[in-house]
Amino acid sequence: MDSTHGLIAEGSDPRGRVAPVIDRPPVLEVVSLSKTYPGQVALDGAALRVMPGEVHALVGQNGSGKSTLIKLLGGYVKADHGDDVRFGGERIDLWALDRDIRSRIRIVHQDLGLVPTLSTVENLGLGRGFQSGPIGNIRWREEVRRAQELLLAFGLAPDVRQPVGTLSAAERAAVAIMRALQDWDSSRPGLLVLDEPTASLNRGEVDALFREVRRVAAEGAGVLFVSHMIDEVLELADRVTVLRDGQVVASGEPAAELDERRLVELIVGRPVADLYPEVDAAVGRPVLELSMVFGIALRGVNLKVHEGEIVGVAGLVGSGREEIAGAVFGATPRFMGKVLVDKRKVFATPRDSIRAGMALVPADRKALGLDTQERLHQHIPLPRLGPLQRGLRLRHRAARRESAAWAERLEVQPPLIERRMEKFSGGNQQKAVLARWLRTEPRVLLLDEPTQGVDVGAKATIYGHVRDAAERGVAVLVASSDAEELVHLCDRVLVFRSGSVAAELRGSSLTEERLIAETLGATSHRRNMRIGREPIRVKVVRENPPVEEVVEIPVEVAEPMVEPEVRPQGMLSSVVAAVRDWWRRLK
Amino acid sequence: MTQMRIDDRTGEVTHRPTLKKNKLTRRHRVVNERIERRKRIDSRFDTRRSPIKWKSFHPRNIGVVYLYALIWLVFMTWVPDTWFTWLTHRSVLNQNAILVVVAVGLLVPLSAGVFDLSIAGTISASAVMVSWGLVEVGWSMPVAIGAALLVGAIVGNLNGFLVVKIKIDSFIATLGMSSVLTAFAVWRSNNRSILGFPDGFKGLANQFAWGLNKTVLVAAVLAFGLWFVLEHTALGRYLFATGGAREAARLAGVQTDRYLWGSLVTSAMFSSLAGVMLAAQFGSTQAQSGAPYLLPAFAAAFLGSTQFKRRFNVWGAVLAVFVLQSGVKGLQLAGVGTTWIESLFFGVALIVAVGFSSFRKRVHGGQRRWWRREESGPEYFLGRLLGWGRVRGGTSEDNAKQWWFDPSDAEGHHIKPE
Repeated sequence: MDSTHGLIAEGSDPRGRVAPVIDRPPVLEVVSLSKTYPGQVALDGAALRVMPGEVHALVGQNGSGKSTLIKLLGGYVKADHGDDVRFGGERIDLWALDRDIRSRIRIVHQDLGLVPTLSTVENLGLGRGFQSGPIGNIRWREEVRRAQELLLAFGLAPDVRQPVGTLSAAERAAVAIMRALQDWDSSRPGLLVLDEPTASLNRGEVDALFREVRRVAAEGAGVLFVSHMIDEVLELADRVTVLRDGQVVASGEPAAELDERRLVELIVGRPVADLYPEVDAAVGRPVLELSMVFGIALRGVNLKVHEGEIVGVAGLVGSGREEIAGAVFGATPRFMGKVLVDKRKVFATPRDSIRAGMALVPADRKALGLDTQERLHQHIPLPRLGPLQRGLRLRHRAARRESAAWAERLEVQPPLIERRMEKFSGGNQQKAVLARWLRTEPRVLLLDEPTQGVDVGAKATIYGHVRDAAERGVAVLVASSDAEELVHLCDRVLVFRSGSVAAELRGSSLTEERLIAETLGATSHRRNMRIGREPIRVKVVRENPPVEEVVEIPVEVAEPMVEPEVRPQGMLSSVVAAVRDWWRRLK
Repeated sequence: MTQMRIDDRTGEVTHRPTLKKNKLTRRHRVVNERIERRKRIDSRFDTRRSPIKWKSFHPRNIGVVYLYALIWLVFMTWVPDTWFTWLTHRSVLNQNAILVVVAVGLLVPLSAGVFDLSIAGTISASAVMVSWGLVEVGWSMPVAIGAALLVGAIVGNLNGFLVVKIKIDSFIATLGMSSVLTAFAVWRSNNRSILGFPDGFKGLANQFAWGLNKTVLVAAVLAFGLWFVLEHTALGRYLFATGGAREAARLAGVQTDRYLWGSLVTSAMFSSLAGVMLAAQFGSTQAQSGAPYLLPAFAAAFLGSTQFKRRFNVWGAVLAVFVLQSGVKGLQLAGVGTTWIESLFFGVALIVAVGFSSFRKRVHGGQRRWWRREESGPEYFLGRLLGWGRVRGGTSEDNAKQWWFDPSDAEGHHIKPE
């Protein structure tokens, strides 16, 4: 690496970024930083340089050393001997930082570090303290106003007196980021580290976040932006540093000179022509059929998935997209309607769903997908222990052998079956969860956000195995908030709005732009209309006189362009809401 | 790449390649090379060539065994006349068979992730039930025992109903239940001791061989059966999965509600059986007979969970009971604290067991002080003595070179070559 500070071409960037100031020393200069854990070199001589006014992206697969670097920056772990890190030109020891410099390195961790039982106001005041009155009483009214103002910058107006645990994921992320940004002293060099900040945000919130980040950078701070989302990195960052296996493979590459393909190649270390294999699906007979399924946010879903077909589900938060996989599987409650697998009716319990041949890879991997304390050889066989039994006895050795085979087939790294699940990186945990379900030889594979928090290499593996399963005749339903993934992986995509299927895209109409437009419900000619939906039929049973009649609720109901967030509702209230819609239209 | 063959019919792997170096992926090689390089630098700490798995002998893993050895040492010298008799040790077994039954029964709900605090109440209630039936009503023995076990079944199902259906926290539900059971026991016994059992019933706790009571046999059979169920059947897997992450287990098709309910019924049944054994063994019953078993059972279960594996396990609990009670026995023989020493022992054991497991969690992420480092463990010192860690084939001079830590070596390895 050269010893002069990075020279950036000025004014040539079409994305209108602020060119970093060259004459000032870098905010953070890591000359050499290593971290060795027993038996594993997590970070091997990392080097990077964050200039003032620059958004510097740090990318890499899971386990490439990104989180180790952040832990080192935060002073949570001690670097190996011989580290050389400079902050604003001065050499510092990250392990023993003085208060002043520590307060100028702000880190928003992936898990946000909020106290869920405290309110937004209290969380914002945790690190900073509160404005207090004459006898040490907290001036709650002013604190509340301040908190509201901070969050309004994000376009969010949650009740700041509610516990943070009751807020939505996006609101929580906003609170954490604003907590890091509050009372930011822009006159002195500062470093803002954002670790996967956009994981739970939708597009509008991401834009708001990027505005804030650019504002902070424009004031002269350096921003270190850690993300899996390659398009976001290319959109926001000025320069990009890529880590692979603990080593820096590209330090401070100007983002303008990179495209998505090149960046993915840098991250993975090999060309990824086969990241999304070509789609070639022959549609067979329907395997999974849903008719009029209601759930917490679902309002009468009808859909069919055929043999060997990969069907995607897109939609905004609250549209039913995040609920559909769980509801089909019986993980979350569902009401009315029918779910059929190979024409067999399935009850709304996970057990019956598994018996019918379903498999669910849930979105919340840590809480629902696996037990962090169990070992890999205990994790993989659990849903189907039957074939491993001889009489009553469980054949441990066979279970281990089979787990090892599956771990190897899914390329779980490292393939150690005695390892506890918590020790695997996110991508490998996801592979293990997929392995567990592929082992049950499912007829229907339900995937909820299958690649959330998963690195690019593991993504390719997961896509490959999903596609393999489809080729063997498995019906696959993928619910995802990643439009690109849906477009490339799926044969057709169903767009959910207000809890039911609003549009279907397939073939040439299945493009990313079209998908996003449909998701937002803003396609020009059919705006404000629900299209392609069957009328809702509600069976009404009157007691006196005893009549059964079927009421059809037409669906060409005008809807507001910005969908209100659907609050959790029971069956009764969803039906009531449907009837109310109908009544409004009558009037 | 992988030459793995799987039998389509049984799903078993018929052929699996061994993990040879040249068969690994490129990334494997890269990482392996790096680890090798690191090992070369750190080879003075390398104890991997040790032929014995020292970790399984670590006090963390079998600390109770070391404690037992210590107890032997102490009382061998302190009270040699009484300590070296079979009577002493068999009486430890005889007196604690009931506690073993209660403790292993308690393991089931604990493994499934719920507490059962009603065990003491269940023991009292069923003991009072069987005594009342035999003495006051004049039931025949099988009827009275059946009635006592019925008490256990009812209590377990009530607990299951409250915890699973009404979704009361198990701690609160079973605590309330234990008070209800105490009320039942006091009401049935009129708060007086019930005496005068028929000889046939007392005979249930008689000796059967080597001076051991039949209760020991019952406890051994139950412990063995439960060990088999927990460790070697699918049922055990489902129980541990329920205890580990309930919702994840449910989504894996485990009927968690059923296992929670069943685990509470199991522990109540074990406790009521313990109540019957208690009545038979002591020949008299009071309303509070079961109370002294609550804390020791929990202490044994938790202390046992730090032994052998990092979860609740039968032999850990059994051993914990035996070792702690041996210590109590020894002290009683020595005439120390005959009345209070048992409470002290089990209280300390519970705190130490739970404290130790959370301390270990903290150590894992905490600073590595010298006594926690790998190179300060027994394998290090023994390895040093026996030369396991030494680099192969080296002369003493080469070894000396290896020993001398060259700083340039450490600093050079992480610099990326241009």
